[in-house]
Amino acid sequence: MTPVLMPGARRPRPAVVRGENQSSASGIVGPVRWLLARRNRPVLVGLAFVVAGLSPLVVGGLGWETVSFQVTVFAATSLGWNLLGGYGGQISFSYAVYFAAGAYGAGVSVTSFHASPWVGIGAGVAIACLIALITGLPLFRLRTHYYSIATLAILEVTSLVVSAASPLGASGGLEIPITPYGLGSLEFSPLNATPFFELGLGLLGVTLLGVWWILRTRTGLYLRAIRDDPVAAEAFGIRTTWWKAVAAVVSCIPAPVAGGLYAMAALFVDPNTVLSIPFSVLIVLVAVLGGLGTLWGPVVGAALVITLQQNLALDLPGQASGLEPVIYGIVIILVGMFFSQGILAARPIVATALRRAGARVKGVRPW
Amino acid sequence: MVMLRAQGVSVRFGGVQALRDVTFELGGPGIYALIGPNGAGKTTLFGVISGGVRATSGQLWFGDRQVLGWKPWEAARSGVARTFQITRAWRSLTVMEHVELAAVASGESRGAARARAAELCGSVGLSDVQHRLARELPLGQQRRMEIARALALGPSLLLLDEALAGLTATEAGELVQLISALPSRDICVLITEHVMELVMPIAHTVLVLDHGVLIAVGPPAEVARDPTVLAAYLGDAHVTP
Amino acid sequence: MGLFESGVVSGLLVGCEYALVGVGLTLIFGTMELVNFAQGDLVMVAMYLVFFLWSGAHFDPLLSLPIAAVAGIAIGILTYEGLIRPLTGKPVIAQMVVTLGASAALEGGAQLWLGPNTEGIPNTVVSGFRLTAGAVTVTAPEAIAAFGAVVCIALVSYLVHHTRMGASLQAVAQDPYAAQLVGIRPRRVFMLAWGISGITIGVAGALFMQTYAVDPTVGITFAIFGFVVVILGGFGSIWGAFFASLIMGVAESLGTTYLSEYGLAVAFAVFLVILVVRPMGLRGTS
Repeated sequence: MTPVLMPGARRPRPAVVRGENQSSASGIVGPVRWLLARRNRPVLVGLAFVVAGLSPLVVGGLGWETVSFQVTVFAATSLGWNLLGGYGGQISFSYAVYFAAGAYGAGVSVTSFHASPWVGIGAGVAIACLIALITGLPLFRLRTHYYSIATLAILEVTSLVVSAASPLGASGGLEIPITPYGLGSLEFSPLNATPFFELGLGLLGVTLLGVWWILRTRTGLYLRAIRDDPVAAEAFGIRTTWWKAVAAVVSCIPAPVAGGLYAMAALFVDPNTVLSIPFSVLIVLVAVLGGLGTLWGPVVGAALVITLQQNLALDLPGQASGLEPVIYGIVIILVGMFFSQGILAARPIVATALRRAGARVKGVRPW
Repeated sequence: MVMLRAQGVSVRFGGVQALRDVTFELGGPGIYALIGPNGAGKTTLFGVISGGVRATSGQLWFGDRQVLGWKPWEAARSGVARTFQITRAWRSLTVMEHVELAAVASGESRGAARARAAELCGSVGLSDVQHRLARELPLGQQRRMEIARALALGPSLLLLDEALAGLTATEAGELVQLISALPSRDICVLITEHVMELVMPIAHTVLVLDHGVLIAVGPPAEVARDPTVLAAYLGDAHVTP
Repeated sequence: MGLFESGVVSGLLVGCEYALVGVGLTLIFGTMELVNFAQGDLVMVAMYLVFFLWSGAHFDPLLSLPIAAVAGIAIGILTYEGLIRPLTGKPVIAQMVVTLGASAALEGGAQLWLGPNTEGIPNTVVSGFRLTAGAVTVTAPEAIAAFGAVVCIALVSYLVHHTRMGASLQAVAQDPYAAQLVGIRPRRVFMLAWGISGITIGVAGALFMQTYAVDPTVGITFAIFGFVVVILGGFGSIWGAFFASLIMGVAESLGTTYLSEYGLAVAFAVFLVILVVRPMGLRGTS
C-alpha cells in the first residue's frame, strides 16, 4: 500500500470479514468491533455526534463550549471550502467573504431591521451564492493561479467597501444589541454557550452529511476528474466550467450560516477580523492541515488548529498583537512544508504502527 | 447514412499548415485507419473531429449536423468518444470509476452506470484490477481502460489515437482483437497508427495523411500499392514512373 | 477639470512605483510558476531598513538605495533557499500556504519587534521641492520615486531580455526540462530570479520611503496590488506588469478623487471587470 494517500484516492479496502460479530460473547469487544467495521461507519459517526451533543452536561464550562463552538464553525466552513478546493482543486480565498455575508446579514437584520437574525443568515446565504456564481463562471475558465488571486481581490474589495460603509459599522465594526433570548432571536444568556455549541454541532452535522452525499453523486466524481485532468474530463462530456461553478455555489453555503452563528455568539462583527486575509487563510489552512480532499480532513484540522489557538490563548488572526501572529505564521509554514498532504495522510503510518502494537485484536482495522 | 463527413477542412497554427483541404467520409460501422508519418496531422484531425482544435476553414458533418468548432464535451455527448495518444488517466480514480464516470456522463443513473462499468471492465479483461488506481496499471491495461471508458459513453464514433503505441507484441495483439470486434456493436472506429502493418489487416478503409494533405483513401490492399503513399513513406525517389 | 488631471498624473506616478512590486512578482512567477504572497512584506522589511538607516545613521533614502538594493538581493536569495527550494515538487497549495505563512510571520514579527506605529521620513533631501504645470502639482519625492522605479524596471528588463544571464532565465521559464538538457542548472537560475526580484524589493523599499510611511501591515496592500498587476499584464511579462500598474494607479487615484475612501476598491473592481472581459489579461491572446 502506498504510504501517502493521494487526495480523494480510494484505497482498496480489504473485505470486511462477515459474521465477525458472532464472537460478541466476549463482552465489550464484540460491539466495539461491530462499530469499528467500515460498513457501520454511519452508526459510529451518529453516536459520536450524540455524545458530543450531550457532552456539555458532563464537561461543561463556558470556555470549553466556546472553543468547541468555534471548532464546529470553522470545520463547517472549511468542509465547504474543501469541496471546491480539495476535491475540485480550485483554491479560493473568498470564503471569508461568504462567512462575512452571513455575519453581517445576521447583524444588520437585528440592528437595522429589528428582524430575526435567521432572516439575515438566509439573505447572507443568497448573497454568498450569488457572489460565488458571478465570480465563478467567468473566472473558472482561467488557470488556478488566476482564480486564487481574483478571489483574494474579491476579499480585498469587500473588506475595503465594508470598512467604509457606515450602515455596517465601517471599520469599527457592528455591535449587535441584546434582544429577548430565544432560538428565534439567536440570543442566549451570555453565561451559557451551550445553545451555540449545539447549533454549531448541528450545522457541522448537516454540512458533513451534505458533503458526503454530494461526493456520492456524480458531482463528486466529476470534481475529482476535473481536478486530476480537466482536458480528459471535457473529452468525456463534462463541462468543467459549469461543474466548478456548481461546486463553488454549493460549497459556499455553510460559510454564511457559520458566520451568522459566529456573529450572534460574539454580538459583534468587524471587517478587521472576518474580512482579513489571515482569517481567510485560516479557513484554507484548516482543510490543508487536516487533509485536502478528504471528508474528515477539515473536521480534524479545525479541532487541532482552533483548540491549539485557544489554548495557547491566541487571539483570532487579524487582531495582531504580541507573539501569536509570529507563531501562527511559523505554524503555517511548517504545515505547508511538512504536512501539505494533511494529518490524515499520516493514517496509513499510524495504522501500521497500531496494527503492530495491537495485533491481538484481530480483524479490526483502527481506521 | 453517412456518419461523418469532412469537407475541405483546413487548420493553421500560426505559420504551420497542419491540415490542408481535407475531405473524406466515414460511411457506417467499420474500422477506418488513419495513417501517415509522424507530424502528418493525424492528431490535429482527431482534435477537429472531437472538438478542441479550431479549424481555419471547411465543414464537418456528424450525421446531419454541422459540427465544425464544437466543444469536446459537446462531441462526447453527441456520441464521439476518444482515447489519447499519451494515456490520460485521472490520478485519484480507480479503473471502475473511470468507466463509471463516462457512463454517468452519457446520462445513465449512478446504479446503471456502475453495472455497465463492471460489465465493460469485464469485456476488456480488467475485472481483476477494476478497483485499482488506473494510473498504477501497466500501459497495456491503461490503454484498455481508455477503450472501456470510451465505450461507456455509448459512442457511435470511436477515435483511437495511436492506441497500439508502446505496447508489447502480445498486448498489441490482444488489443487488435478487441478493436476488431467493435463494429459488431454498431460502432464506427477511426484509428490512427504510423505502423501500417498493425492496422492493415483489420481496417476496411485506409486514409493516408501526409503533410496535412489527404493523399489516398481506399481498401488496404489498394492503398498499399498506391505510388503516392509509397512515396510518402519511402521518399520521393521511388515515385519515378 | 484640474481635479481630473491631477488625479491622472498622481495615478500614473503611483502606478510607476507600485509596478516595482508587480515586476518582482512576475519575474518569479514567470520563472517558476510561484505566487509569492510574502512579496509585499519583504518590501515592508526593506522599507524598515531604509527607515532605520535614516533614523539611526541619518542616511537619506536616496543614499540608502544602493544599500537597500544589495540587501534586497540577499533577502530574495535567502527567501528562495530557506522557504521555496524545500518545496520543489510539492503541490501549488503548499507553495501558497508557505508564502502566506511567511507573510503572516513577517507582519507579526514586525508588530512584535517594532510595534504598530507608523514611521515615515518627514524631511528627505528632495522633499519641499515641487513642479507645477497648470492645475497639476507634483512633489519632488513623488517624481523621483516614479522616475527611480521606471529606471529600475528598465534595468531589470535589460537584464532579462538582453544578457546571457537573462537568456538562461527565459530558457528555464519556457521549458525547464530542455534548459536542463543544455546544461542550465535550475537552482542557479531560480536564485538569479529571486536575486533580481530582490533588487526590485530593495529599490521599492528605498523609493517608497520617499512618499509613504511604513507600518507592519503595509505589505499586504502592496502585494495584492502587485498580484493584480501581474495578472493584468500577463503572467511573466515585465512591461505588461508595468502598464497594468499604470492603469491600476490611475483607477485608484481617480477613485480616491471622486469617491474618497472607496478608491482602492474602485481599482480592484476595475481589475475584476477587466478579468471577466479579458480573461487572459490585457495582452493575452489565447
